[in-house]
Parts: sequence; structure tokens; C-alpha cells
Amino acid sequence: MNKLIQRRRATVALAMTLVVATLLAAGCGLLGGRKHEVIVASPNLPDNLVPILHQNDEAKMLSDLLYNSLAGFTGRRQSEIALELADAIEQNLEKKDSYKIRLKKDVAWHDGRPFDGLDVLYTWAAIQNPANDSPLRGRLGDIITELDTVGDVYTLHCAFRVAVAPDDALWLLSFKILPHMINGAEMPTNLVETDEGRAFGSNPVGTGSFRFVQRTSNELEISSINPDQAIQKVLFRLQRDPNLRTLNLIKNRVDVIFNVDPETYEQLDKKGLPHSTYAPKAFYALALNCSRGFTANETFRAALATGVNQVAIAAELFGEDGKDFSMLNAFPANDNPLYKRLPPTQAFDAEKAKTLVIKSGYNGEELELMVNEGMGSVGRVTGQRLVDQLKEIGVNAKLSVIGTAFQAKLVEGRYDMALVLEDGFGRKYDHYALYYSRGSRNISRIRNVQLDDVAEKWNNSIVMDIKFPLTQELNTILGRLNPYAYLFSSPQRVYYSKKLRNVTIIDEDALIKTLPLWNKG
Amino acid sequence: MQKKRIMTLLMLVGKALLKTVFLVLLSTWLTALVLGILPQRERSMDVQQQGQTVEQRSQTVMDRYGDWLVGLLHFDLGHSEHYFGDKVSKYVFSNLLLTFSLSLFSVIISAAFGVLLGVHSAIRSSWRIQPPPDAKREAGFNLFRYTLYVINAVPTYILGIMLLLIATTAPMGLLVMISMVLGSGIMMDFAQMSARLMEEEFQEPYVLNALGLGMKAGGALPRPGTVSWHAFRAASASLLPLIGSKVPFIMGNVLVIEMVFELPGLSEPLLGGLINQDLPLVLSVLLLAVLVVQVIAALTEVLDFVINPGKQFLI
Repeated sequence: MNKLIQRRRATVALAMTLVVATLLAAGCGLLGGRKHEVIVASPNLPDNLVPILHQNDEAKMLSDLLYNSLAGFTGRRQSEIALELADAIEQNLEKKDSYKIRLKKDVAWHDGRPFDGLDVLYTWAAIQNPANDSPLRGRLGDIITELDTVGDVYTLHCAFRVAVAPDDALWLLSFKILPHMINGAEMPTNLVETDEGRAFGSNPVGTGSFRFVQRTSNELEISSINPDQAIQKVLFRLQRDPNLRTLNLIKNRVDVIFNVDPETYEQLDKKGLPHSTYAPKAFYALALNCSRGFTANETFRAALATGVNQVAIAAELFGEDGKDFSMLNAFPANDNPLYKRLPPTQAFDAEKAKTLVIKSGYNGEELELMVNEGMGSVGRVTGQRLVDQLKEIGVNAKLSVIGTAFQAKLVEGRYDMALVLEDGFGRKYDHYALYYSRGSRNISRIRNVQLDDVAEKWNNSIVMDIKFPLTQELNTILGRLNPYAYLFSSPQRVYYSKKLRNVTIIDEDALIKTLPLWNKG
Repeated sequence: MQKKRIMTLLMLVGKALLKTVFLVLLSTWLTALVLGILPQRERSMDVQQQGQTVEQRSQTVMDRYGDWLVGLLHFDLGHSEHYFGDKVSKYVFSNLLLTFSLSLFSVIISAAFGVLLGVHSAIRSSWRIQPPPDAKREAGFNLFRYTLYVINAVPTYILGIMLLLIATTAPMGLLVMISMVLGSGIMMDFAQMSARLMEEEFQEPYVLNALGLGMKAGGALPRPGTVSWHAFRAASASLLPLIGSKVPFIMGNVLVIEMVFELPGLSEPLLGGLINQDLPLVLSVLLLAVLVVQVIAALTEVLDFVINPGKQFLI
């Protein structure tokens, strides 16, 4: 009997040991298989995989790997463009407003069909289709007057409304190209309202270095089309919590994280994790509600804008680099270097600000300065410094750090002043929407006919010879109306795993475009 | 008599069906109503939306709700409004499988450990079944029991984060189940329930009779052929339906813990759908959650009906 009991106990112990050993082995196995794989942790998954439609930032990043353009950003240097699907682009030297584009003949779509000029024409037609509400439609539609094949399907003729320099032409032709046929059937130009369009959105086909594999609720997977490439698989993994993203990078569960809170820089640097720095097309500004209270008064707004010392705040946040990121006018320099020549929209002058406060008839009423909790330490520090600076010029401001209600209050105009991060500008800063009376992003609620007129012309100008004088005029009007007190752009760090080499993340327009070159050699 | 039982069973099922339909309609309609009142996700100052009142915005959402209901009648959950091109069914069915599996396994494991703990506790405390243990062993057992109580008091979410920090390489599914078993509290619920039921059984006259006739009392745990085994079988009849009723409860906890471990369960479609105001996705997740809960409740009731023929059921 005792032997029986002993044997039973030994069997149970052995079984439990086997189970534990198996589980541990399975756990350890998680680490072994990630040599050729990169996991990008992001707070959102790519939402729309059709690049000519509205996309979130993650989808734009992904599109750089899935699709090619006639000419696209290389990602190796800031704003560097090179030919991709085009072999050569030749300007008509007489008229200078038209180009001949020769296409590469050895390019294939991910489904094997060869690429040709009909795909470019289809993409252009899809962009122009109003049903798609493409963000490219207005701007490109105004400048590109003709796009057609000449001679054969590998030669295109492109005409612009005005003479366009070759560099500007490349930029204008940097839209991603879509296939005009899928599974032997012509694609409709209306992508949002047709089954074929939706099916394409669910399973996109491009010519890029990676092909789409699958998307689930937590992950999106793409795989390389080149078997010799070091990185064979890229996973975009949804991780909303920034602290968990940081933890997972430290624990080697993910390989790249964006949107890193500056408060965690020190922790990540101590772990020896490498990083890259880039300047996104975004800026912080103090939005002033032009539709109610004291901030509706133009003189009072001028006082607030004049009393803000953005250079000092930027220096506190970013150290010596702070000066480079300060915005002395409404146009960040990382859009176009010419903008550095613009005079300040409203130069800092505390004494002048105090005088303007008195002149405006301000009665000392407490004004709320709201900051979004999601801005982290940058928001809190900036908000507090602004309150301090406004106090020095005689304005009584109270800081409110607000969570989910921030957006609602902003949209509904229930605020006095708000620290905002204006972003999502796409390839260029299209300020139009911020200032136009009916602009989709006019949170300051500024309404001015002259501003509308100049902003519209500015938005529709591509060529800098025409655009720069309009920029100067717009800057002057904004300096008079002051819907914002402009603060600074914020450099962003991208931290990545130690296993990655040759990483270049420098251009917001092509953040991970160089991924095929990572770990090469 | 048999006919009466069949009729009662059919009426139970019918009642469950009607209740399900009513709950689906009520919960989805209320959700759509609330989403319609909330401000739009986009920071939109579009002139058309500027002019829209809350009532008009709500009307637009109710129109979309109507479209979703019509699609539902054709067994089509529609397309996601956030993930362009993808059908909602792609995100919810496979995710439901994971959430449900985790919930079920967590309940089963919690029940197994809880019942063992409760039954052992009842046996130890019943002088009829075995003599009182020595003080040292009693202290050891109590320490173990109270440690479990303390761990159970820690919220599942916190437990999950602690495990994530400690066990870097362990499989996520395993960590989730450990968090659920230890942190959700149902293991101790089962322990207390089973202890109470066993103690009630030990008070029954047949236990004394069996012991008097020379049947073995049983060891630390019930073994076949012993008095404690018969008591355990009798107590199980009341325990099984209770175990089934805990699955919906634990699903709520699993939704939270999935976010900690970033598992592709129902939590992400629900949370993502709410953040992005993706109406078809949110409604579909809600629909499935209600269906699962109601199906389990119905199955539990049917099981109870089958196991306990003498029990009266309210229709």
C-alpha cells in the first residue's frame, strides 16, 4: 500500500515537473524567434491603408513601406526626395510648366502584375474623385492641370498651372501610386463607397518593399518582398499606455517606440537604448478664444501674445537646443528654411504687453488656461510658465490640466486660453484650416475676411516665388489679429532596441522609410 | 410528468430567448443614444457640424444605428468606420473566442482550486470525518489560506502588472490566467461555497449512518468509496450551476486584464471602438457580450433544472 502511494506521488510530481518545464521552454521560446522581425509599438494602429484617403500617422508610416510614388522621400535626410517609380523626369525648357516622366519598366505589384502608366492615371483619377474626399485633391488639383500617357504606357506627360521648379515638381509627384487592376478586374475610382474599394482597403496591394499580410484588432503585419533583406517582418502592435510601451521596450518585447514622454528619456538612456531625434510637423501654441470674454478683444490678445517669452520656455524644456525650436512667427522653420527670414509675428516685450493689457480695459478677471493631460510634462511645465509670464504682465490666469474633456471644451469654444499641439499637417504645414472662418481646425474661432482671403491664396500656392510674399502678408495679419501666441516645435525622440543597427529616423515625411536598410550587412 | 418537464424546459429556453432579444435591443439602443450625445471625436469646426445641434448629431447616429440593425437582420455586422475596408466580424469573432476561452479556463481553474480548498477545509473542520489536526499543521494550512485571501484582495489589474514586471518571458496567456485565478476573487468564492455545502452535507443523518456502518471517513480530500466522497457528490449538484454563473462575471475582469497583457481579446475592439466612435464595432461587441452572457445563464438554468429535478423554476 505504501509503495502504491509512493508511486502515485512520484507520478504526480513528475507530471507537474514536465508541465512547468514545458511552459518555461515555451516562454523562453518567445525570445528566440525575433532576429528578423521588428515590432513597432504605437498608441494607434494604422487605420486606413489606402494612401490617397485620410490616414492617421501610423497609416502614413506604413504606406511608406507598402507603396511607392513617382518620386518619394528617402528618409535618409530631412526632406530629401528621389525618384522611385519614375526613371527620369524632364522639364520642358521652353514652357517650364510641363514635364515628361519616364517610368521604370521592371517594377511589379505585390500580386505580380507589372506596373505601368495606367496605374498613375488611375491614382490621379481616384484622387480627383470627390467621393473619396482625398486630402490631396484640392492642393494637387489646383496645380496639376494634365496628366496623361504619351506614346506608350511607360511615358507620361504632366502639365502644371504655372511654371514649377524641378524640386517642386518632385514634391508634387510624391503621392503614392495605387493599382488600377486587382485580380484581373478594373478598380473603381470611388474607393469609399464601393465593395472593390473597401476590399482593397482591407487587403491592399502596393509596389513597396513590404507587402501587407494581415490586420487584427491588436496588430498589423507586413512582410518583406526581398528574401535577402535583414528585416523580413514588421509588426505594428497596439499599445496605448505609454508607460507599458516604455516597459516593453526595456524588456525587449518590442523594438521601436515613438511618442516617448521626455520624462522617460533618462530611464531609457540609462538602459543604454539608442534613439533618433526628428522634428515633426507640429507646434505648440497658446490658442486664444476670439469669440468670448476678454480674449475676444484684439488689443488684449495682442497683449497676451506680446507677453509670452517662448524662447525662455523652450530653453527650459529643451536646453541649448531650445532656441532652434522656438517659433518666433507662425511658420515653423522645419517646413521651409525661407521662413526663418520672416519677422516675429509678435515679438516678446513685457513692458509693451503691460501697456496693452491696461489699454484693453482688462479688469483682473481670472482666466482659465487649459492644458491637455495627455501632453505630459511638456504640457504641464509650459502651462505653468505661461501662467507665470502672464502674471508678470498683469493678467490673472489659472492653470487647469484637463483629461478627456479637453477636446470637447476646445471644439465647443468653452475656454479662454488653451495650450494646443497643432499637428497632422501632412507633407506641408497647411495652416489654412487653422485660420479660415470655416476651417475644420479653427479652434480660436477667428473670423476675418482679409485673413480668409490671404490664407486661401497661401494654401493654394505651391511655388515659393508666389508663396513667400503671401507668407509674409499672412504673418503680418496674424500679428495684428493674434488668434495664437506661437510657442515652439517639439523635437521627438524615437527609441529602439539595441539589436537594430543602421537606423535612420530623421524625416517626419518618411520616418521608417529606411527600414529595409536596417541591420544590413 | 415527463411531458411537464419537457414543457418547463421549453418555456425556460423560450424565456431566455425573449430576454436576450430584449436586452440586445435595449443595450445597443442606449449605447447608440449615448454615443450620439457625446461630442465628435475629430476636432471639427466644419460649418455643417457647427450648425448641428446635439439633437441633429444624435439623429445621425440613430440613423447609423438603424442601418446596423437592418444589417443584423441579414446577419451582417457591417464595416468598421475606423479601420477602412474591414468588416466588423473580422475583429469580433476571433477576439470573442480568446476572451471566452480565457474566461472559461479561468473559471474552471478557479473552481478546481477553490473547490479543493473548500472541501479540504470542510473536512478538516468536521470532527465527524477526521480527528482534529495538530496545531502546527493547522497553523500552516491557515497561513496558506489567509495568504490566498490577501492575494485575492489585490485588484486583478495590479496583479497583472506585477506579474508582467516579474515574468518577462512567460507566455501571456499563462500570466492572464494566473492573474484571473488569484486576483478575481472567485476562487475564494468557490472555496467558501463548497466548504459551506460540504459542512451542510456532513450534518445529514446518512453521514453518521455510514460511519456507524464502518465506511471509511476519507483522507484530506474525498476519495471514492469514502463518506466524504458521497458528501462531495451530493454537494456538487448545487455547485455546478453556480460555477457556470461566474463565467459572465469573470469576462468583465478578463476584458480589463487583456489590456494589461495586450492580448487580442474583445477589450481592444470595445475600447478602440469607443475611442474612435466606431459605432458598428461597439454595437457588435455589445451584442456578442450580451449573447454570451445570456446563453451561459440559460445553459446554467437548464443544467440546474436537469440536475435538480425536484427544484421549482419560475417561468
